[in-house]
Amino acid sequence: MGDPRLASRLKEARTAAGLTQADLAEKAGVSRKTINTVENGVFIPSTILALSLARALGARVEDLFWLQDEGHLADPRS
Amino acid sequence: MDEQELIKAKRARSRKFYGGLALVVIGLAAVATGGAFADQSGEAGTGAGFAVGLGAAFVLGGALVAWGARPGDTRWMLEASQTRRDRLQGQRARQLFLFPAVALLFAALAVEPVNRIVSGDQTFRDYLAVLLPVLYAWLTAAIAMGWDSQSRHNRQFLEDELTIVIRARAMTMAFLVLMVGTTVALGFALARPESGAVALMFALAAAGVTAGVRFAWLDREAGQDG
Repeated sequence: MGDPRLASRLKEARTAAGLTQADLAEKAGVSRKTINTVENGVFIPSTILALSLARALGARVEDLFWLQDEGHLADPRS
Repeated sequence: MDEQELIKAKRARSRKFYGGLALVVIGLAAVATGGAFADQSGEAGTGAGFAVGLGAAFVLGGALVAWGARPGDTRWMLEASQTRRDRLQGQRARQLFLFPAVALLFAALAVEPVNRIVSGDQTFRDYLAVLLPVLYAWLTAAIAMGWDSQSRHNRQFLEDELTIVIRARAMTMAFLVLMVGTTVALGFALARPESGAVALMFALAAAGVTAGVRFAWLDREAGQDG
């Protein structure tokens, strides 16, 4: 279900917003398990889910998820 | 919940309450009827026993349903959607562990009845015994697929992207088990025709069990922090 090419800072963004997994799940209209598996990299969200999560956190999708090239970390924070 | 949803939910609970009461009444009638013929022997006695057992199950099930939807209980109105989601998903996971176990138990109990049917020495009870593991296997698969009434009525709480992925993985494994099981059953049927039916029954039960247990296992893993 996961893919090593996808990097995520969903957990950091969620905790920075002061939300629990359940809170974010409620706002995005999914189960807490979905949030948990996305944060752990076990599950890749669809475009719709990624957009819902970004909207729930007041962030851009690119700030939450990006492609992790081999040998080069394309981190938007850098 | 908005006004429309509240009215809809109230009507559904009312239907559930009266449906539960109706089940209790039907169950009591079946128990009474079975009890009246309890002193009979042979097929009539078996039928009476079956009526009492089924009637008791209806009374218990109907009472539970009616109790859960009783008028005056307002807790459901206050339940947050995430709590309700967790409760319903937990309920589904428990069913998907319990029903497979029941299916396997009934399959083990159905071996002798199948042999009696194959040998031509069957009674009505033998057909019922064979029906039970098949029914539970189908019920388990139906719950895993989201075809059951609970899943259809609570789709917004029981279905999301993760559920769809978990379902796909569970059914893929169940399909593999079904293919292997029926292939083995075919081999049995060709080598020893009298055991082919038993092997097929177990193949069917195993596939249903796999769908349920794999779904519940993946669902449980998804809830654990990685």
